Order: sequence, then structure tokens, then C-alpha cells
Amino acid sequence: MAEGSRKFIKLKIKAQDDTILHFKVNPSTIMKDIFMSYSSKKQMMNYKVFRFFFDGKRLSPKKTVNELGLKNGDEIDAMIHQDGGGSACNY
Amino acid sequence: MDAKKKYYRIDGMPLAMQVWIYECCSVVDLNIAEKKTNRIPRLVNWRTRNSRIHYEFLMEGMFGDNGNPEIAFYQLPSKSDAIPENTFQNVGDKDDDEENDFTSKPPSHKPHNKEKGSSCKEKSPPVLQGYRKAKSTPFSSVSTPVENNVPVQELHNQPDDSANSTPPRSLKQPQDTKAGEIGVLRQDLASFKDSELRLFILENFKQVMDTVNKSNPQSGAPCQEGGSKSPTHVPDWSNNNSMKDGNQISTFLDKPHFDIKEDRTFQFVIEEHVKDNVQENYQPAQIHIQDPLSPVGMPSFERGDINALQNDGIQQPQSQFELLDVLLPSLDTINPKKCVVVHPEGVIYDTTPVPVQRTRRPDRWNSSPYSTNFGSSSGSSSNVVKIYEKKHLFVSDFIRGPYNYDLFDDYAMWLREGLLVRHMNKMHDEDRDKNKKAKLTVNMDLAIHLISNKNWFYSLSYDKQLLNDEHIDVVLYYLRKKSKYNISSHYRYTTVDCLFKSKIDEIYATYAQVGSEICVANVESDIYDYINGYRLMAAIPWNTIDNVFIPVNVKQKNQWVLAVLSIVERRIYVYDSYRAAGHNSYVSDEIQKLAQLLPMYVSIDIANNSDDTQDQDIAYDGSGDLDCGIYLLAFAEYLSEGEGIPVQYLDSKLSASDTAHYCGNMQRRRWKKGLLARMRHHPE
Repeated sequence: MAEGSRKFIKLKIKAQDDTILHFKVNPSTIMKDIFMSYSSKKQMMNYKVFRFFFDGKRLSPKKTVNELGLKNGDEIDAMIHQDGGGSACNY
Repeated sequence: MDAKKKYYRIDGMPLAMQVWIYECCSVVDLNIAEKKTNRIPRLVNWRTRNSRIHYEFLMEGMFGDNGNPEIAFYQLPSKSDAIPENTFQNVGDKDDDEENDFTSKPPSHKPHNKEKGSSCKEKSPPVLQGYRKAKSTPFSSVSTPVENNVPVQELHNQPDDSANSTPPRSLKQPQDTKAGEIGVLRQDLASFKDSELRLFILENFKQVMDTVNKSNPQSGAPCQEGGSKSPTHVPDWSNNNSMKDGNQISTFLDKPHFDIKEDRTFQFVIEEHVKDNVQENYQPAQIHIQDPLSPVGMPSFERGDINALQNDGIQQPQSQFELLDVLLPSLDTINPKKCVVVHPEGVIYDTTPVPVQRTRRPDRWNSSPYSTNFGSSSGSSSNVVKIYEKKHLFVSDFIRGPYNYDLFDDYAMWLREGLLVRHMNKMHDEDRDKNKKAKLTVNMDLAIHLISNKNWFYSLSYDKQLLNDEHIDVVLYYLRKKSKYNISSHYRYTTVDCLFKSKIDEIYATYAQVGSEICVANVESDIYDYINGYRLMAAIPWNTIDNVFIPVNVKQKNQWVLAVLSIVERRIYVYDSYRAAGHNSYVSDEIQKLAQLLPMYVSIDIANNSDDTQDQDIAYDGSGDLDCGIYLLAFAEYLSEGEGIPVQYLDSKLSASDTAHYCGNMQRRRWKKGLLARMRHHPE
């Protein structure tokens, strides 16, 4: 049991409204999977609407948990992406 | 202890023996040694005062009969053999003592007797036993000079004998046979004169030399005289320095000079006479004369020789025949005990080997780390590989030039490659390239953001595109870096990322609800990390700069606005590329959050809460709203140079020029539109 539990890493994803979702992931998990899971929980179809930060640094969705150096209990900030200009202004 | 050694000097004696003597002797004169403590390692207890003790001193003090009841004088019947031995021993003593240090004379009567017994033990064991009974054991072993007891009478016979020299002991003993022989000796001595002695010695020496010369490799002649004796002596020499071999001969040659010391010669002669009587060879005796020549530093060694001689018996003289060492190498093994261990000189190694130093060579790939060929999908258009010099990221001035137009052309070419014809009709998040060619074969890592799609560059390069926070962050990151490493610039600034404003929004929401400043501006807030320079890459602490560029996203209008916090002037300048009636209020709302919260963190004096905004229209011409993102970047870059924003015809020059420079290919894009910018001053 102890070893099995060690295999997983517990991550917290904190939204802008201070709601926290907990994830228990494998170290070799690609971040994109986590993001997609989070987006689905947030009822978002596209995970790219979120920006995930850890310690002020963006988390690439293509890297694994291990590659990013995430440890057990780390908290990830989820921000809704910001954009401006372009055709979006023409409403 | 070496069983064969008959007598020792105190100072030449092993320490253990000295201590043993001190311990076992009832009275030890304080002048000789003093017992300091009473510990178990007895060696430590004793401290010697006088290393060289004279015979008389010992006799009178330590071994005096009055002081030591244990010591009793015993007269031993000595055999006839004993006489020559004794005489010879005397000679040996004299030779050794010549230097004046006759230290080890401790054994008075008892030692003398005992030694006799020991010397004779082989011959007459019963006698020896008797002696040992009477004497204390320590003395028996200690008793160094057997003949010390010799009465002074003999001395007069031998002119040279001083108090130190011990006349042949044989005289002292009452035995009839000895007495008779001694009488003869005296007469002989008396009859001899110096000249005769010298002649005699010279003759003998010649004989010895002849024999030596004859018996070159083989110890023929010398061995004949005493096969047994030679072995005893040889090992000593062999153990000593090899130099001795050479010295030996020299000593022989020097012998005539040595005649000056007639004392010894006299003694020798006497001995020889005695030995004649005993039917011994005298040649060795002559050789023995030269012992004094041998280095003085080896008294104990000589003693050993003498002891050995005594054990061997009559053949002693040859044992001192030193020259034969070379001839009898094998004999060393016979008497290992007697070997005086002389440590050979420590092997001196050459300097310790020094490891060969590695020669460092420059890296083979010491070239630009940025690939100029982006794979088969992109590199087909130009076969010529252009190599751009690797410069500092911000060397060239992208605002004033000169411009590397090749770079821009290459970038534009790369961007247009595979682009759809109707790329403008696509939505901002859709690929504009044919058939999945938008995907980069190699992800481009811009430190802030990992770019995997060419769309990212498309958005940045073409007008009227939607720029998201990733673009802004990347460009501001390079501006930040530029400021960090361009220290000479008088315009000190730093930038923050888009997340900063989001944090401010969160805090402001809390602040608006609570209405208290304290619980909002807590120390643990991330804003402090921004201010202290902990959070961002290439961050600069705010206390070292004058201006902070803050990108502000007006969410309601999907607009990018640049807010510059001037710490010195305590103002917030807002650079907006669009001006509209329903637009300004939203922007001012966002800026209001900054204006209210930042003073808490930066501890700036709040002169006046900004209730009115001063709007200064720099220029307004055209659709600044669609390209607000690019305008924001352009403002930031212009401001980073410390210049004002040109009123008209702002060449945005692709404010992402840093990015362009970074990737090696980035088009410089000219915005020929006029600039509509409004500068708002938010006094804090």
C-alpha cells in the first residue's frame, strides 16, 4: 500500500475563485490529461481556455508531471486566458 | 637480552635493562636516576640524571658494600682459560673507554664474579650457579665489565692505564695459577719498552696485512685461525654501514699513526703474551688494536664483539678482525642475534607522479544554438543556409535601425510557407496552414512559453489578430530581460506578466467586499513576490527601477492596455490604442484597481486618490482596437527606450522584434497605421 500510494502525486488546482480540485496523478502523466480533466470538471470543452501556472511559471501541457518537477501537494493556479484585439472586438 | 653479551654500558644498554637495574637495585643514587612516578610501564617512571657514570661513582655509591647488604663479594676460582679472556676483555674495555666515557662499570665485585661465571658457564656451569645464588639476578646480567675489579696494582704495570681502565682482572683473583701467570705478565710488561712494542706491533700488522691480502676472496688464512670467531664478528659489520668494509682497510693502513696511543699497544702486547702462553694466535689481537679506530659511535657494538669473543673462548681475537666481512658474507646468518640493526636509508622516491593535466578543448558545437532550418516542411524553399552571428539578444536597435532585412524576409518567407490562401478567414484559434503544417516539428521554447504551432507566430505577425496572454508575456519577458542586462540605460524599468493583473483583480474583489486594507495586503500575497523579484524570470526588484510595465486586459472589451507605474512620479500612465465612448469607462475601472491597490504594496504616498483622469490624446487614427495587443507591445518597447511614443505613424516594427531576434527569423512588421493612443494619467 505504501509503495502504491507513493507512486501517485496529489496535485491541487486552484481556480481564480479559490475553488480547489484535487487530482491524484501518476508522475508520468502528461499535463494535458490533467488539464483536460480539469476543464471537463469546469464544464469547459477546451482546456486551452485555462492557463495553468505553478509558482508563476506556465505549465506546458505537453510535459509530464515529473518533467515539470511537481511534487506531492503542489498547488497549481488555473487562470482563464486573456486575449484582446482582433476580431473579438468586432461584436 | 643477548645471552652472549657479557657486559654493557648503562647508557648503551637497552632502556629496558636500565630500568630493570634501577628497579631491582635497592638503592639507586639520585644522581644516576630518579624515580618520578610509580606507574605500570616502568620505563616511564625513571628519569636519568647522568647518562655517563664513572666507575668509581658506581662503586662507591650504588654498589658499595655498605649500602647494599645484598651484595656480597665472592671470590671465584677461575680456570686457566679465564685469564686470557679477562685480559683480552680488559683490552677491549680500554679501547672502548679510551674516549673517557667509561660509563658502564656498575658491577663491582659481584658483577665481576658473576660475569666470570657467565663467561665460564659453558665451561663450568656449577660455578656459575653458585654465583647466581649469591648475587641478585639483575646484577648478574648487568655486570658489564668483568675485569672492573682489577686492583690498581696492575695499573702500574701498564703505564697508560688510568683509573678508568680496568686492569686485567685475573690478577685480582687469588687463584694460584692466575697469580703466577700474572706475575709473568708483569715482568713482560716491565721488560717491554715503547720502541719494542711498536716494532712488535708493526710486525704483527704487516703479517695481518699479508694474510689479508693473500686471503682475498676466501677467508683462507684468517679463517684458519678461528673459524668460529669470524662468524661472530662478521655479522656486526655487515649489518653496519657498508662503508665499513672500505674503512676497515683504511684503518689498518692508519694503524702506524695510531701508535701514538701507546696504552693500547701496551695492553695488546700484554695480551698477546698471555695468549702466547695459551697457545693462541696473536694476529687477531693486533687487529683488535685497531678497534679504537673504528667509529666511536658504536660502543655497544664493540661490546657485543667482545662478549662474543668471550663466549667463543680463545679465538676471540679473530672476531675483531673486521676486514673479513666481505669474505664471509654467509656468516651473517649464523649469528643473527648479534646483528646491530641499522636501518638503511629511507628509500627516497622521486617526486610523486603528477597526473597529466587534461587539455580542454572548446565545444565542438560552439555555434548558435538556434536552428535555422526547421525541418523538411520549412527548409525546402531556400537551399542556402544562412548563418547569423550570435549576438547579444538586444544588440541591435529595432526602433532606429539599422535593420537586418534579410532576417525579416526570411521570417516572412517562413511564415508564408504553407499558408492557406484564405488564411484571413480563419478564426484565431484555427490553423492557417495547409494540412497540419502549422505544427512545428521542433517545439520552440521561449522560456516563458513552449510554442508548438506556427499559429502563434501568425497571430503576432499579421494584423487584426487576437493576441492572448502568451504573446504578451513572451514579449514582455524579453523586454524585462533587456532591462535587466542593459544596466547602462538611464531608463530603468521592469515588466510583469498578465497574471499580475489577474492577481490584482482577485485581491481587489476581496478588498471591495471587506473594505479593509489590512487583510488584503497581507505579506503572503503573491504581489510581494512580484515586487521583490521572486516570482518572474529575469525579474528585477522594484526598488531598483523607476517604471513598471503592467499589461492590463480589459475583459469586457477584449482590449489590451498598457499601464505604466511610475514609481518616481507616483503616477500610472495608461497607454490605450483605442478610444471610444463606451470604452474608456471600462479601462478606467481596471486601472482604478491598480491605483488603489498598488500604493499599499509599494508604500507610495497617496497624494490624491485619483478620482479624475487626465486624458491626453497622443494620436488617433484608425482602428487601434483590433491591434491593441500589438500596440501594447509597441508602446512598451518604445517606452523601454526611454523615448516618448511617436505621435504619428508609429512603426510598431513588430514590437515582438525581440522575439523575432530570438527565433532568428521574425519579420519586422511595419504598422503604417496611425497611432491612436491615449495617455491617461492616474495620479495616485
